Amino acid sequence: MDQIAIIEACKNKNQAAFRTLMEHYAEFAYTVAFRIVNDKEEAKDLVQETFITVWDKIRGFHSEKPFSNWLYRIIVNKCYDALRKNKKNMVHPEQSQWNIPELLSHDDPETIMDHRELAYLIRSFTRNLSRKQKMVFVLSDLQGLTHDEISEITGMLKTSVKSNLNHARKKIRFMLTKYMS
Amino acid sequence: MNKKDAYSKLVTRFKSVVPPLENKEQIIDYVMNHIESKNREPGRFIRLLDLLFGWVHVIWLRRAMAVTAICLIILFTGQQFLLMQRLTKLENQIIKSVESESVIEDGPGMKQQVLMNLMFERPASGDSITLSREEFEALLKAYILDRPDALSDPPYPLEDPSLKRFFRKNLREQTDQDDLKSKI
Repeated sequence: MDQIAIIEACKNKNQAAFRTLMEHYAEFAYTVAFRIVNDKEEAKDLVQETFITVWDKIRGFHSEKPFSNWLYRIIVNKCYDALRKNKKNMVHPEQSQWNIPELLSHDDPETIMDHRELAYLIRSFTRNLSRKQKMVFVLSDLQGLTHDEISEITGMLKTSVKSNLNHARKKIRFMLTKYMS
Repeated sequence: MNKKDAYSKLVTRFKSVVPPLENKEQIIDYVMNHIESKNREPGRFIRLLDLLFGWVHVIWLRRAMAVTAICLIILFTGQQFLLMQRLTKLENQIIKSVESESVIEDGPGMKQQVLMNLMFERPASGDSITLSREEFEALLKAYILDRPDALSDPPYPLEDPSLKRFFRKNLREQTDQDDLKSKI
């Protein structure tokens, strides 16, 4: 069963087809969600919410367009809301405990830090970024999407995408200089 | 390590930081259970609600309703505006008509003032006026008899002294003019 057939079956509310679709895209959705919220449990919750929304709205999806972009849009919206809700509760650990130069020079960063610490590190580096800047940074530099794709997914103008990305990069570079010194 | 290298290395590190998705099946089962619970046969109350308000979930119908509502609001506002304009115009006409009469001294009622203005200010305009039967008879009698005093004869319907004075004055003037004409 190819992807279009699966999606068409999902549109007809075929639960078996939807299970197949979830099995195929669950990890992708989790990766995007984790890179944005930097929290394992929250990313899992977001994956669940995302797929429930996919099931509810799949009839509105046009099969001729790429499904991953449509899925991106739902995940990004969910993550955006989650970031807004969690902004006040976000924990920023003490940065002095990290040895950034060693982390960057080492081939396998996980021998120095575990996932949790690395997630904290990302959160710390991106703490000064606005939600939009963070979204654009993750989609562009971590997910490798083009400006056009980001513009389509987030609904932002291409110029706005570029400007947010520049600001995000600038802020991360500043944090990097600060930590390395 | 320069800044650019450091940044690209950091981004590479960030990319690698994705823990594997544990309990994938559990997540999928949770979603499937949620979907199944949604698809279960709804209760009577839910069905009734769906019957009454289910149309709000139909996007085209909801949009059509919204557009209709906006159109109705615009129509209502426009109608109100036109009505207000007409009322203001009518009000101005009456005020203009009343204010143009400077002969009246004691301020009779609005109806009488308008009546007199229409009758005496624009006699040649061809406008029609409405008089009560009694008023008309009294007026005819006074005019035919060439006797302004007839306006005081019973049963005279114009009890307002200012109106009486006004009619008398006009009738006298008319009589004087007729006398003058006949003398000439």
